[in-house]
Amino acid sequence: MTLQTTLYMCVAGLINALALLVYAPLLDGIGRKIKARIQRRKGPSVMQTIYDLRKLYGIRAIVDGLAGNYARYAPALSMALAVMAALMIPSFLPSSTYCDLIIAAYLLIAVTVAQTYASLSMSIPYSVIGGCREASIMMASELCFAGAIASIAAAYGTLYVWRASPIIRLESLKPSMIIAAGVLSIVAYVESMNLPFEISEAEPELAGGTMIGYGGRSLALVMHSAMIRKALFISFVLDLLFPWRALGAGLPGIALRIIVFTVLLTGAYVVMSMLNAVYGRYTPGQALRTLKRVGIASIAAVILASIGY
Amino acid sequence: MRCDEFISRYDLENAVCLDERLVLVKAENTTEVSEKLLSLSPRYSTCVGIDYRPINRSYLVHHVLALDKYGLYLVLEARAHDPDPVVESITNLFPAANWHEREVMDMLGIKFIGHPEPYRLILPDDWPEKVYPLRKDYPYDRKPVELAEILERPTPRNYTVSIRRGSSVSEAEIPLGPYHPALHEPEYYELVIEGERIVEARYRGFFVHRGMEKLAESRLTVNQVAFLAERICGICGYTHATAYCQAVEEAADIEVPARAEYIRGILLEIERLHSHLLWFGVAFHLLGFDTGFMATWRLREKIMDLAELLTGNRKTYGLNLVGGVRRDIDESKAHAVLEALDFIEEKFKKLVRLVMGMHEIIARTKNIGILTREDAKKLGAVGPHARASGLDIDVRRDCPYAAYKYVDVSVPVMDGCDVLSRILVRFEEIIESVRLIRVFLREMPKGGLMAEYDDIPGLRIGIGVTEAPRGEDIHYVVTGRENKIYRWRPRAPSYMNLATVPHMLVGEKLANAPIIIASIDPCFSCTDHVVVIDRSSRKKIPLEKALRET
Amino acid sequence: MEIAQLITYFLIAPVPILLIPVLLLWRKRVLYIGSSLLACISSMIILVLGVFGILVSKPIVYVFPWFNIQMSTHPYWFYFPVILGIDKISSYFLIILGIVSLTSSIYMHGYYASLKRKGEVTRLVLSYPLLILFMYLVIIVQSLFWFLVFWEVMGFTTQLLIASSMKRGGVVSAMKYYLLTKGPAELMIAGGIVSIIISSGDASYATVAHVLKSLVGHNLLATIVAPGLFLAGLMAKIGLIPLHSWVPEAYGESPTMASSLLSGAASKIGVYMLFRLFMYFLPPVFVWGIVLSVFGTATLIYGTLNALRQYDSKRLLAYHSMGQLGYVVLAIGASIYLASYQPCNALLSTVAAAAALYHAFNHSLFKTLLFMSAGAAEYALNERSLDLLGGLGRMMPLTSLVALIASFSISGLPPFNGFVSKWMIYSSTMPCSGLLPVCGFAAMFISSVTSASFMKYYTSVFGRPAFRSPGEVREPLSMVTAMMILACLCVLFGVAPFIPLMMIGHSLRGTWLHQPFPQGLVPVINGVALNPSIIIAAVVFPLSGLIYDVAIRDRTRTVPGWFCGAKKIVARTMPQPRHYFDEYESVFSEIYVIGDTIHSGLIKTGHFVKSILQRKSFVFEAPLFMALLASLLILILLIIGLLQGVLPG
Repeated sequence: MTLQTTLYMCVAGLINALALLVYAPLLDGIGRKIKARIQRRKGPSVMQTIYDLRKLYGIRAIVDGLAGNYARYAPALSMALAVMAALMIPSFLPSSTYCDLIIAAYLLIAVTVAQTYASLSMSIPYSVIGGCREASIMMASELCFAGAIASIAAAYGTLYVWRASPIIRLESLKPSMIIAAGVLSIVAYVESMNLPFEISEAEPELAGGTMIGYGGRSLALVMHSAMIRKALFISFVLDLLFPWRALGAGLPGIALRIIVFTVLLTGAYVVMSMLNAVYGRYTPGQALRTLKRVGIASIAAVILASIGY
Repeated sequence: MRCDEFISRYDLENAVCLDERLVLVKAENTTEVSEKLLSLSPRYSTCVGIDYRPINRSYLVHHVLALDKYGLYLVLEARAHDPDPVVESITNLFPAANWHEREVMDMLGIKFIGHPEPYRLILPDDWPEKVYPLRKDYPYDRKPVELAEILERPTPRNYTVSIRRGSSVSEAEIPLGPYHPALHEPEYYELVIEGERIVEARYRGFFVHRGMEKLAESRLTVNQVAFLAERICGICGYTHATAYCQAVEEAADIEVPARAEYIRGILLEIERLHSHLLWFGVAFHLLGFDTGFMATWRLREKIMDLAELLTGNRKTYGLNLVGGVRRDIDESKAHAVLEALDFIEEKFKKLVRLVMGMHEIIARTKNIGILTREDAKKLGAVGPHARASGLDIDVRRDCPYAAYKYVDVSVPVMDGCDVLSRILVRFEEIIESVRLIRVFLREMPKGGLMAEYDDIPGLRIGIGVTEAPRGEDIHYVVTGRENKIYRWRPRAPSYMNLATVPHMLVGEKLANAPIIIASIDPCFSCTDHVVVIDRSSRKKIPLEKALRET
Repeated sequence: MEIAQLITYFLIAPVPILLIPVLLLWRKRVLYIGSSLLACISSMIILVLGVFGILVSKPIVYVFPWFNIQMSTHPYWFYFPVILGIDKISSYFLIILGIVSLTSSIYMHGYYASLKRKGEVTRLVLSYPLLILFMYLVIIVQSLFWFLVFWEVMGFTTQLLIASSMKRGGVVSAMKYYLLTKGPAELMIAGGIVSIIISSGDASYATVAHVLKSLVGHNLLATIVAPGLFLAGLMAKIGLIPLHSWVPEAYGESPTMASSLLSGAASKIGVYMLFRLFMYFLPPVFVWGIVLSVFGTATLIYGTLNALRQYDSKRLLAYHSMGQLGYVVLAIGASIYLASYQPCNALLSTVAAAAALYHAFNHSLFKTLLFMSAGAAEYALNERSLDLLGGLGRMMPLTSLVALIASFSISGLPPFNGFVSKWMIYSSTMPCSGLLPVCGFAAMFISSVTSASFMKYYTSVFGRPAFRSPGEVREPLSMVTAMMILACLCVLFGVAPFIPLMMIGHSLRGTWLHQPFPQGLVPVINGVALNPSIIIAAVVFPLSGLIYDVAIRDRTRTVPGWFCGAKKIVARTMPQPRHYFDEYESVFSEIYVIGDTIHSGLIKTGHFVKSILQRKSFVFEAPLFMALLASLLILILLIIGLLQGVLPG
């Protein structure tokens, strides 16, 4: 690892993080617009989420007075963790060669964990209910996620993202990797707060979610870090699924990568929001049962990968 | 069955025929008579307390029981004397009488001996004791306490219907309401939860009680009350207006011309359509399916347009007067209605097919919110809610009124007893409503719109019953002298259905609570019974001031 | 280091501790401060000894001139001198023991204030030093026979410490589980050791290791039977399935001093011996790799999933203790598996072994810290049920900060220490083929369950508003100091893992691992890489601090919670922690059912055995029963051993 590559990685990571800071809310706005169009209404403008964040960042932070001290600090922590994840996980630019599956997974998980600790500390019962649901869904989707990661590691003998990607290779097609790709997509869908799994924030199901105890700047930080995390999850899955090395190296390769990545990321959001418009919402029990079935599939993927398929 | 036939067949003592379908039974010993009446398996409908002291120095309590099989209503009269009026409670025999008797206790101060839960129902917590608003000596515009004092006192625990099923060391009582994003009107459910399971549910309502009954007695003429009745509810106002007009027409023996009856029928069905479609939208929203919500309400817009075409208003049609209707429906309007109905029916059937194919919606409504047939009967549930639990009751068929006297109404009944059944029952009702409107338009006779009548005689009792979108809506009227009303008691269907909600909630998962509450199609404005808001200053102003200024 | 100096240290180490009971003669204040101080001194000596021991290149052995036992049985005769010494493996565990007992001793000073009765103080003062002494002796002994003796006495002193402040009912139930699991286990370990001694002809570690290496592979006794019996005994001590029933009772019901010391240090003694048995005495045997991996995985799944159900703070921590030790055993199993099955990666085998040691150390740190925080909560509110605790975040800010650090560490969040050791475990199990990826997958899944469980724990005790108003709450300085030391170590080991990894690297040289651990770096598969943990810490802490400063601190408006317009007492509306994960439990009930059937199966077996004996009109008196079983077993093994000597091979 020379100094040059280290420097390159830092700069690339920084560019990724800054780009995602801006692009993630924009993607959220695009999603809202598409959902509105499917429902045959005009919908808010594509920049609406950015305007919302801007407004919230301008208002003084508000927090539930009876919650513990940690609840005040949590938005800062989860934002810092989200930015750290954005620095590490390759998105627009291929930033780190040492980003491995475990670090990426744990950083992504850490953002929600840090925030859920806070939501369970509030005095508002709906926040606690939302936090419990969030924790349960996290446990169930981690079952699937761990299975996918273990099977990828077992199939390709490495934990590095840049070596394992793409996990579906036409020259050596492995059934375990097909299952793993499916499981990863489902996990990314679930963790991105899409219907039918948008459970912890759902008022009609009597949760206040994890954000109900905040207002103003704190709320902006929580929302923003959640959006960045969502974009990063999708980026992580795209990193694994798409054959990035085929795009070539050098400057044209990097430019091509940026374009292709942006298109894919936006496309993923478009698809997710179309699915959002079509589905209703699950109760927590139903979501857990669905994830259990996906979990069984991921266990199958691990077993298959470990015996060579 | 006719009233006199009925009395002779069942050999009722002290029974008098007030009208073809209204029997009055005076009872010295209410419990004894009620026990005898139990053999007829009546359905408890409402209870009215009347301050008759200016007339005969006593209070009257009229329990209204519905005998659906015979198409009759039976009024059981009990008399109580001034001071300290006391009557026997019949809640032990008719559990549905629980709230009604408490309301009479609150508003008139008549004590019901033997009532299992003699707590306050309607009046706010800070209302002083021994001040009874519906007594004739209480002026309608008096406020007993200052607002500041109201905020100081703590909330006492006077809840309705508490059903307990095991509890643990540290109870978690989650407040659902009075203001919650999942609820559309103020109501208060206190849910005791263990994790995701509800172990106990308590309900408290009547946050928007507006004192309409007192207002009708004091200040308004007979026809003005019709317009006030329309404003009881924002969704089913016309039903209330019709029921009130029918009550007065029955009391005064006014015969409404046939054409007016058909027009009333058409508009009642249009109201049913828009109410059910609104309900579907809300239900989809609560199930997380916002696309369905938007689609349903877009369809509903067509019906609102129809209402505007026919009456000039999207809601609050203002069409009824005692004796008939105010506007006519001509050929071109009828034609427009028929075209719109074709469109609505087709689109609606498509939507139903789509929704029935969504397994997550079915999974969230099947076997959720069970109300057994016995419970429904015991608590006096009405409307689609009761029909989904296997009770075959519908006022349009049992005790026909308006244009329903001339047609056969098919009544959908399911025995799933769950939320899905309630959805299916309302699907069927929409289809049936469309059919009925077509029939009415086709068969509408020519004629006048308004009956001719002299002064309305005083102190006559009349009951007007309609099948509102939510169930049986009954208005009880005692006419007064000089074009006023002596007593008016509107009882909305949600009054009966809300009592069943705690039964349905216990044992269910918390995430299902909003859809269960919504599945009875609660209309709290109806239940609670005009708040006028000054649009510029957004302050509430009393109705009298508004009426004076307009 | 000169031998003579080391010897004096050996001798001195126990002395301060042995002086503690003498202090009972004085007043309370002298007793509290004095015993704490003496224990600290001993602990520091142990720690220093450990550090020096790691740096020493060859094991230092000293044969004690007294207490030798000679047995002559024609034609063999056995000579069991007391051999004490330090080698690389034991010195690492001496460091662990030193740190844990040091912080416990500091904590003890504040703990005394919570003891109500003089009798309790006396019992604590008498049993605590004994336990530390015998733990120390077990680690430094270099003769299997004396290991057995000290091990049994250590077990006895453990029970003594557990019972020291329990009520009668608690003592009885703890003893019941002890007899069910550890009783037979002690016999088995005795049997295993006896057979090993017989096979190798001598009890000293060096000889045993030498002989066993040649015997393994051809001799069934040496390959399977003896290690199996030994393992059974160790399994009970560590708390692996299926001999785990005593752990929740013992750790859960015992006083804070006992549970923190036990989970922090005593369980590590079991790990130490396990490590030594499989990484020093025996060469890598494929069967044991599989057995250890499977048992480790089963324990981590069972322990953590059952911890989700708990609503008593100490029992929850006890189940987690069991689970985390499952991780350690899994890592040891993975190391053996990788070394014996494929030379897939000698590097990965080393990494797995390093992960085991590292996780053991990290576990001591954060688990002791967690038990201390639970003890502080119990001290403040006199309550252990999670449903009824709450509000301590504001009252005891330092304690809640360290509890938060410990919760994040055990959940494996970067950049704390739990993350690094778990990462090493995943790196060594997942990229392989065969059994290990499944184990790695289970480990990663269970780490998310741990995080959820600690969300429940931390927020119920510290995070959420008070359930009952606590009144006057004190945070004794000594308790806080002890906890802060551990918390700082947690953070340090997470941010700069090369410090402990250097120690581990040295210590692994004492095993049969060929590949040396890459110096000071968190290993990656190919080539050299920067340690991401430092980067993560370097970004996350300052960034979050900056955001907090700029956006939140001093600029926050606090608003009371909104109860939808109803007037509610906050405590009545808080959902109970015992039901947080009910839904999850009911959906994933299949996994729970498996664990529950195993557990109830064991209980039923115990009852069945008892009923058989009763039917045969044996009086089920525990000591008699044990003695009979013991003599039976030893007789059998003696016969086997004798035969073994007679038969060729």
